[in-house]
Amino acid sequence: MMRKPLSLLASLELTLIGISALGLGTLYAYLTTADYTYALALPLLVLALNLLAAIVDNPKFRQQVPLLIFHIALLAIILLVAWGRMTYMIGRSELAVGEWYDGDVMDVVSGPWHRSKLEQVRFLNQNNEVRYLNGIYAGSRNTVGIIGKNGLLQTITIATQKPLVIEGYRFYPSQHHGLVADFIWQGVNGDTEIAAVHLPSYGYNAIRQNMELTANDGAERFWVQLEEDETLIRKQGETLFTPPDLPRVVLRQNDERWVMRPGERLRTADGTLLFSGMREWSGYVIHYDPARTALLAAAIMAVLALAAHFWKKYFSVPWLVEREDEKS
Amino acid sequence: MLDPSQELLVQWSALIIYVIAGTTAIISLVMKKRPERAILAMLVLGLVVHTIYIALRWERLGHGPFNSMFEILSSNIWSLLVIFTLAYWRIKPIRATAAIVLPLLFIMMGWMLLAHPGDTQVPPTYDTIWLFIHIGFGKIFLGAVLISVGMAGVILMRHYGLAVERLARLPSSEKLDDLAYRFMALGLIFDSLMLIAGAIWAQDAWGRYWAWDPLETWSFLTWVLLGLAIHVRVTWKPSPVVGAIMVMSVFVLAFLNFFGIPFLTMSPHQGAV
Repeated sequence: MMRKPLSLLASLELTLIGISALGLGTLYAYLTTADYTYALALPLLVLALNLLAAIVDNPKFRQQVPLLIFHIALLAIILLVAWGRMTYMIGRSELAVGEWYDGDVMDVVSGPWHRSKLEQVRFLNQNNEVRYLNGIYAGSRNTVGIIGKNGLLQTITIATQKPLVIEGYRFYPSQHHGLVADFIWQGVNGDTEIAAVHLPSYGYNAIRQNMELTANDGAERFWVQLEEDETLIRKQGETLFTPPDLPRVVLRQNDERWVMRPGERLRTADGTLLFSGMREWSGYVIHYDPARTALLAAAIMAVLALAAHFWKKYFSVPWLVEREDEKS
Repeated sequence: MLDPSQELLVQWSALIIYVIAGTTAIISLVMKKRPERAILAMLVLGLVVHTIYIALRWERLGHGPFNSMFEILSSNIWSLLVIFTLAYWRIKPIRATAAIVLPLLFIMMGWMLLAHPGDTQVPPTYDTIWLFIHIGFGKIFLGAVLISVGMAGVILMRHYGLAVERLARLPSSEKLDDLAYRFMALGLIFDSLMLIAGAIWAQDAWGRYWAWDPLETWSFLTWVLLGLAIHVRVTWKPSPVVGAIMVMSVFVLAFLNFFGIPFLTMSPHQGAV
């Protein structure tokens, strides 16, 4: 007898094809560098249609409520993942100690439906505590300030695994951190500029601590390099990363070279450059995914329903009645 | 406090006890003897000594055995034996599967003896309760599949005419297949829980719950294969031999996922269970 189209669509054989295709699609996605969206989306679509058809066509399936809930929760997970991929955002930012976050974000990757609300986010990077153990990065703890509902600055401690959450954006202190060399430029015309030079991330670029400094509206350009007079990360034991006690920077412009300590000034034809000191900067990784809480709820629902189904099917039914001689 | 080499002696003592228990299980099967209480006592004694070793190392290093191949093998030998010993104690009709399961663990023990037992340092992402939850669920999952493997091994040995007479004391292959798939079902529940707990951990460790890194991808493939095996059984009601082959396939993939993938990749998700 010919099976009806709905019955074919609802068949367990199609489920097996869908699951196999999902496995193969996952393997393909893992091995290829090409676009693999369809390799995952098509089997998931087949499985979703198969499930919906089974709910409509198969009364026996509908009667097994925990099994039905498990599969509906799986369907919800697929939809929530899809929504999450359309609306997510990942980016990063760098903030010096004492600097306010003002919505700035770099290296952004986001879904097509993401509408940024980062410009509404404000917090103060108050203090950074970066820990190393035997020369290896061992975590960050940042103290940040947000303006509370009473209008006062409220201090919060966040860490490598404890983000600051504002407007759904999760700010994690990243392992990228480093030093900021602060300069103040005073032109002969009376103009004043503040320049905070973020030296490269320290852990990864400890021997390449140099960066360009521009002042006087870009007319003055210097190459700034930190002189490595102190060991900032010890090879043995625990180290809390801090700026050098007596920082020394070398400034280069064309063939000229100057060594400066905090408080020292450099005079040029157009003005004076003051090296005011050093502080730390902290990297932040920013994540946004509105689907994550619902996704977690759906996943927990799926497992609870699966456990209930197997409990009814297997665990509450004795497997084997033992013979008397086996009870010893 | 013991120094690291003295600590290792404690672990080796545990391994020797496990090996004696496993050898006794094999000999008892061959000789058709049933020293089951003695085997159970040896397994428990080995676990007590092994627990002392893990506790000593944990206390000295300040973190659990979660990082190097040596630590991961040691902790998994321990957890798999805890789960198998519980099954051995509670499900008497399948005790003879110890002659199949324990030699499998001997391979892991031999591998561990070749691994470097040096001190390790864990990354800051390990400083979370979700690590323990994720790892705990993973260990129960692998333990459940290992118990199924014992029964699948008996079914396959019978099918290929190996030690048929000596395995006669075990229930029929159909009954073993039924019990094996009860443990596979338990495995699917705990595999799902492991993935969820891992995703929660990953969210706070790396800011994302899922990123298709190699370990995540192969964990998902293991979950898919486990789901496929259970669906095949429901759909086609295959013979116990086919069911046993599927159990073995799931175990092989899970084993590679636990002990192979984490050490073949440079992704930040290095810590297997």
